[in-house]
Amino acid sequence: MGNDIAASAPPSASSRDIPAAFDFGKLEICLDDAACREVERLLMREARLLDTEQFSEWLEQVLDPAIRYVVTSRQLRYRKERRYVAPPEMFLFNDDYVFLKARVDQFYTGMQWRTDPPERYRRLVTNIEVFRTAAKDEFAVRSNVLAQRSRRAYEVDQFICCREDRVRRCPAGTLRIVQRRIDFDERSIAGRNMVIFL
Amino acid sequence: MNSLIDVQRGLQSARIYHDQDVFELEMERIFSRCWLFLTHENAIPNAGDFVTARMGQDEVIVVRQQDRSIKAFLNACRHRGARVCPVEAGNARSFVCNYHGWSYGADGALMSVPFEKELYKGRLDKSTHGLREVAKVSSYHGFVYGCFDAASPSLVDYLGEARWYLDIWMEANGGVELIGPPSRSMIHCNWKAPSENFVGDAYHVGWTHAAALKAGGCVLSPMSGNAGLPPEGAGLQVATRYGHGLGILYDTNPGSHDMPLAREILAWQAKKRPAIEKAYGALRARYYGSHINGSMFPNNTYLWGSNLFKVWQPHGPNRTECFTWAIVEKDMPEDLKQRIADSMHRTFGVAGYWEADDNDNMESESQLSRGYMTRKGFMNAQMGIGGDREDAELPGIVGESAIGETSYRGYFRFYQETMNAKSWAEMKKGDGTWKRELTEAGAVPATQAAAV
Repeated sequence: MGNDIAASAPPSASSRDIPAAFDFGKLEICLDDAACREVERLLMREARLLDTEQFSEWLEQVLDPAIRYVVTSRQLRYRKERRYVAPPEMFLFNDDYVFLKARVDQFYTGMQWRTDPPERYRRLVTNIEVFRTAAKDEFAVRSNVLAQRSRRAYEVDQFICCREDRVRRCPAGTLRIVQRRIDFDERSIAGRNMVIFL
Repeated sequence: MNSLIDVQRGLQSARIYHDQDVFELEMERIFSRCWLFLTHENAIPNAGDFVTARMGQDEVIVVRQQDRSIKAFLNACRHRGARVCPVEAGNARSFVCNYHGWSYGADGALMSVPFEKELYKGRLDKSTHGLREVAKVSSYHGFVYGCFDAASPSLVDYLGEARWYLDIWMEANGGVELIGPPSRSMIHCNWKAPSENFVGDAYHVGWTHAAALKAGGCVLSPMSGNAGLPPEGAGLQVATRYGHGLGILYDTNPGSHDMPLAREILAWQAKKRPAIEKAYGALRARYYGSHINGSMFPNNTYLWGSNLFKVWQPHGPNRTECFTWAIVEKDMPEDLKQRIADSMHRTFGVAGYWEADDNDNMESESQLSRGYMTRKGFMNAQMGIGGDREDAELPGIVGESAIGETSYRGYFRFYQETMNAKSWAEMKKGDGTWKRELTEAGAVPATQAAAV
């Protein structure tokens, strides 16, 4: 044990740029049905890959390497609160690609007893709306997701939330998620833990 | 309740995780008498600032007063008992009950009652209907604790010899603060399962967290899969009066943090260490750079090095709500503070991949105790029993190994003492005997104990 021990494959230092929430009311809805369908197909594929434990494929096929993945939990405060100025939100997730990969890697270590026997996942992705952004080939996407994790005989935990994604076309031509922000609804997480990609 | 804990043999009845009567007695004997964590002063810097908190199953409002002192009140209206404050934090001049509009000042006094004159006709004594005040509120290095029992020792005396170790990270480095708001999650376990784990379990790290250690890349990673045992002399465990305990793993401070962040933290510590060594000595300067796990009795946990601070709030024998804050040094750059908080939540928050491993153990040991036969058995905390001793330099009772169950034994010895005692005065008797009870434990061969 000691400070001099270097870890294998250390994650790189990362900046802490927190993406601002979209103001969807000010964005132009995307009327290009082909583009909307392409976004939907991306989200459906993502749900399938995550539901079937294809986490590496999720990293490689769905996420942009510049991904910023944020899930916040918001402290309960009065609507009219003005004088109390401490930050109202904390970050359940604030990950870049390297940290998301570390989460995925521990699944593949062969040592993750928690998911053996396998957990089962089911994601229902709905209310998909696609908006144009200032950048060409980039979209703001709002969707609702209900993710259920069934584990061992009795554990059934549900996570329901709204995703705000930024999706852009990668050089290879396909759409990728480059930013996901979730402001999680439930304050005290009833589902034990949130070790699940939403 | 005398049969729950066998101090001499280092055993605990599985009933303590399940039985409703045990839980009810815990609320009476522990949560209404011991000092309980409420908040950190940095969350309520200004007069009128408040946070809500839990003390056992009681909800309280913790308010900074005009004179800078801090008071806490039951969050229940004196009329019909409805909640007067539904938020977690804010700044208030008054707290108004939703039900009929009774209004209380930040000092808890009942200020106004709608239509008081017309409806109560002078028969309501407002002066005796203020919010019920928590008997004692006190801070230690900015950490605010409350206690319902006016007869309890002071907070300083309650923390006692544990302070010698707490001061290393709460004071010697120039002080710390907690970054909030806390994350909150509900775990299906008994509140003692996590509290005891953090008080003194370095044993599970390499095994329970094997995957996280392997994939996460941190200074503790060589322990993954029990590939290696910390060498002889790599750490120690400590039990102090009133059930507090801790374990130290030398020179592994950035703990569960990723290596790039760990290197930044190490560089930060290297700058501070000479001054700490000068003021506090080489031994405690080394502890500053070590990983320290600990719990303050009954339900308040920290990991110095992995930077988490938690309370395990009981919602019943089989439900525990976890509140998690990040510990950072006050004078760190803001960006570094935030990145430490992110990293801590990534590992030990609600979505932390270390935390989820722990949760599963805590849930299964709690839930299996429902079994009638299972509950008749005892749980074993005998590792290192017989070797616990007093030390000339180190306060408390010391177990001389990085891995052992010294602090478990200290935690549950006091658990039994406070569950049995009718008052704090009765617990005075233990002041002179607790160390001997722990150091003399294990004299009877363990093989006689485990019969079910």
